[in-house]
Amino acid sequence: MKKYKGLISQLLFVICFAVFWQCYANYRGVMGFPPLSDIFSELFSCFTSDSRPILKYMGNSLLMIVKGLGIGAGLALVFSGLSVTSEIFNSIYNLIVSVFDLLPGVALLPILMITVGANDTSTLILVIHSVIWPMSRSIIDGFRTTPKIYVEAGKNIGLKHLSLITGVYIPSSFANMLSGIKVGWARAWRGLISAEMIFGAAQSAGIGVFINNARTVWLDYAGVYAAIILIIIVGVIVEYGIFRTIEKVTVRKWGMIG
Amino acid sequence: MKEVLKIESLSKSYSTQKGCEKILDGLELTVNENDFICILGPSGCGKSTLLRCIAGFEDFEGSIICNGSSVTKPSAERIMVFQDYNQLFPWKTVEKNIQYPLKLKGIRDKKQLQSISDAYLRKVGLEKYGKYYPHELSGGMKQRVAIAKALALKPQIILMDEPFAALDAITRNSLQKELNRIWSEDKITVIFITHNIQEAITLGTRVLLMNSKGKIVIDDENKIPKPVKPTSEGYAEMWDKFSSALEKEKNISEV
Repeated sequence: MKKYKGLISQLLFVICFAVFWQCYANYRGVMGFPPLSDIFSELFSCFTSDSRPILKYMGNSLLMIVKGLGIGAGLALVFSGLSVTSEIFNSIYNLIVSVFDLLPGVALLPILMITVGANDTSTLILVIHSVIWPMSRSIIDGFRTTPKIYVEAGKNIGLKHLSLITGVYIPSSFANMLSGIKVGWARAWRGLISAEMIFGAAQSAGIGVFINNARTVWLDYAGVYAAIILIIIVGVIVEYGIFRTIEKVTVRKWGMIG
Repeated sequence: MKEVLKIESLSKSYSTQKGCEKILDGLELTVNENDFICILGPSGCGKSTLLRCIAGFEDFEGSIICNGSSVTKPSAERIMVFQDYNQLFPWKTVEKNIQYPLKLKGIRDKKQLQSISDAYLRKVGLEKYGKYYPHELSGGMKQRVAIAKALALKPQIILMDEPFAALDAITRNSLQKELNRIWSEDKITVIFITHNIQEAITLGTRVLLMNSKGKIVIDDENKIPKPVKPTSEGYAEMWDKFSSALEKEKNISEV
């Protein structure tokens, strides 16, 4: 029973909050504060709706994130690998990472709009920007903190240059890489939705566009909340379903984190 | 007897705050096939540095020739078993830790890799632990796997840097026995660094003493028949000789 105490309290809190929301929304009847029943019925109707296919919008956003995460993580791996092998590259790349890691992706939007245009390419650049710097920082930290004994054991069995990076540095830094990609995902997800809301109808409209349209075109506040709930659900699936699973079958299984 | 390793005029210096400190100074050593050389010496005399030079981890002056080739970089022909338990890759299972260097050596056949790793795990008494990850093993078991990994590679020479130093006395004794058995079965060549005179006499076919100036001052053949016990004939004399020499070297290095 003690084991479930926390879970029960959380569940009770959610139920109380939902009841309060439902009662307050019904009592006040304010446009921007729809009852929960409307929000969930809107969410389910959007799943099957042809005019507002929420899952299609979400799919577009996720596709963009996956593309950006893939490119960003790949570039981070290549640049971090180079910075381990070259002292000069390392100092330059370190400077670039330190500067750009501090820059929120949304701050780049005006420049991207002028230079690239309000399109998918801009959004993709923004996602890559969100991923590449925290991931690089984590990979470089991981490479630097790779225990000397693994490196020497690797060299001893004949690993060198690229094989040493793939055979020792990368697996040894996997926990850091995972935390880097988590930070990158969180930043990219926020940045992407912001960009979609600012750009409005881009080539492939994502969930941010859905929220914007629900608010300005369809005047459907239940739809806005439905999209927000879907964003939270996706966040939970990615965090607990994907990242935790990867962590469980890798670094946790290897005893590299407690 | 075939010469496996020849070290001539080996010198090694480190830059310290006090300036340039010479750790090894014109060291000479010849190792023959199936030698089990145990090196004793006071702390900081350069025993580990010598091993690291042979392994190819350090730059040095002089020459180290292993099986006819000059040592310039690390190689699986001179495999090292470190003191640190955590020398196995934690992301690989025990058997994959043994198979990985073999793959790098060019063995690709999965069945062959499996049979080699099984055979060497059996040799160190860990045949049931192939699928385990290193963090699931005790310190002594990890060192056994490291030894199995080194043996499976069939190197010219195995370099052991106080591999049992951090183990408890019982595990240490049992590993010494195992290593003795493996040495006599596989005819391996070993250089073994230790602080422990009993360990050196128990394991070594030659017992060496390095002085605080990085030179070998005693190089004695160990003629005590194996298995060596404290009651074996000649044990006490050898122990006394190395103990007093070590004490003397320790006093010199502390002055």
